Amino acid sequence: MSKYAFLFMDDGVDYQTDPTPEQQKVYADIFKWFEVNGPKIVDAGAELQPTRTATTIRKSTGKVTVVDGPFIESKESVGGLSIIEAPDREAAIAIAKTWPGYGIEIREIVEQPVRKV
Amino acid sequence: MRSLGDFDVAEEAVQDSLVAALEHWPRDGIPTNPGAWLMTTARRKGIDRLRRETRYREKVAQLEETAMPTSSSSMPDERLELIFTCCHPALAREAQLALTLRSVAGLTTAEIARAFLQSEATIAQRLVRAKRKIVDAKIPFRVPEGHELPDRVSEVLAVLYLMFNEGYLATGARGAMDRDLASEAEWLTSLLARLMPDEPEVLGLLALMRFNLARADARFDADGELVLLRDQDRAKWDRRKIDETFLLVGRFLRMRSPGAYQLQALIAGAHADAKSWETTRWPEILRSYDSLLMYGDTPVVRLNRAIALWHVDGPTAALADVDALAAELSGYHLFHATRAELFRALGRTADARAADEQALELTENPAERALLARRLARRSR
Amino acid sequence: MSQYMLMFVGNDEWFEAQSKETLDKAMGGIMAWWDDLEKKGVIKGGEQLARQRTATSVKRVNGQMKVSDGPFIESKESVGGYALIEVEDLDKAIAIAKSWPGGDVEVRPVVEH
Repeated sequence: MSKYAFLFMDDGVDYQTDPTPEQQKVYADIFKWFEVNGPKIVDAGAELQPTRTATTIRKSTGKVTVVDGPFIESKESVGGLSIIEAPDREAAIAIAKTWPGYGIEIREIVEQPVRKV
Repeated sequence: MRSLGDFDVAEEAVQDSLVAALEHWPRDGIPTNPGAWLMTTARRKGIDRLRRETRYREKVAQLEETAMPTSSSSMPDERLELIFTCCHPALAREAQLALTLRSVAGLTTAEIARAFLQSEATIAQRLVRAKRKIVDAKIPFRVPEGHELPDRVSEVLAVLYLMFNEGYLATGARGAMDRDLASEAEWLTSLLARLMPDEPEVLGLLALMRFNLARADARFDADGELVLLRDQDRAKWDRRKIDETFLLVGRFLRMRSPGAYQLQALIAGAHADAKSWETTRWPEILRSYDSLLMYGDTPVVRLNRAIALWHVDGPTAALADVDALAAELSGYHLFHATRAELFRALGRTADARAADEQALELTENPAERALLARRLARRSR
Repeated sequence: MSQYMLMFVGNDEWFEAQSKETLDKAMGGIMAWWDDLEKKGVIKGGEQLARQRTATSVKRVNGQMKVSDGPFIESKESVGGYALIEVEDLDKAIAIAKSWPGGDVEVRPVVEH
């Protein structure tokens, strides 16, 4: 078994203000998806607020600066994240394909060395 | 739970009490009636939290209200909190500007829109988005702590500086407005100086603004046309304001904590002090620009330094420095206007004309366009 | 108290150009940072993610979920890891993000239901 990060992607539409009936259905389906896949979810992670609430700390200029906005300007963005456990990449993809939302980026977790606490 | 209206708050309050109990009990020994102790501290912490959250909600609501000065109940700390919140770095610069003008200076959305030549709808939307971010991301209403202050004060000064420049460069040819952005910026900076009297950069920016404003009456001629510093009638400068501003310069110099705005104020002061363009203390100005470059080596500062160099070492040396900036400043109208001035000083009239034409193509400000157009028209006669 | 996600910006090219010594040293700094915040009770979760080029993306196209090799968004910069933190407000979150020993960090508030 391996751990995979599911980065739940947003298509750029702000769901939180006033969801349409279609959007509400997607939300309901997502809720069900979490119930169904609960046993496979090792860490529920978090649902993120939209990119308009983001703030980025930039160090590339040499100085440390705080700026409004996400680190990438694009229509699509990360809307949430959870950690899944699956036998292999193929199995993880199969789970991701059942996601009722816009899309998922799947990444393997880099296991940290076990350290004495 | 009956005494606290909010379930979440109640739950968290009990949690907090348990944590507090774990901290206190080993030290003080277990109280004789632990249940009662828990409930009392839970109640106190719950009330504290409600009070904090209500205060937060009130402060967000305050962003809607008009100018702080008319609100006699506002304490200096609250106004400072408001300024730092409106200028929080997590907000985009445009949002900081609009929010500060609306919530601290009390301008209406219409007045802000007119000042920036944008639609009221654009400004209204910008304000709504900024307030939403404050709430959604939980930007706190607080005066930053000591170690955070330098960066946060810089942010506020950057907003006020931008506000001043927008106002200062835009007024005049456009006609009278209800509220003058440059004066607004000066007022806000003087408020900040009163609230933070020991911040030398705040005093520096205030002095810079006041030196510039002192020249206001000489900036436009009888026809409403822009007049360059070099050609201004210095009798029209507000000498009293200039003298008062030098007292401000004395104050920040005594603090011995130099900075970019203070240096710019010294440069403006050197000009304000001079009887004429020719008798200006150019070597002093050149030295100030050399120091200013250490705070930020930017092409625009180098361009302004070159003008000072012209008057110390002559136009040839200055032109060499200006030409070195071509790659970065070819899109900047003042780069070409400066080259034109230097070509004229060197007797290269054809080159001067070409540079003036390039400058005209690039400037957006109506008053500056008029000035450059006039200059070109004069030469073609 | 509010939850924020810190997304640590990674750059595959930069990562692949570093020596093992540099990366090990960087990892040491990150472990120390993590341990310190865990001790303070600030960190609620977090992981290091495998590099962007190893990603698989699943995207809804015309109602169907299409699988493709590679990241969802084509870009030099990507999410290299994340930390879920719980702090009082954005200023506290920003202070923690500033102390991250690596590169750029995006701070996003979590949806609280």
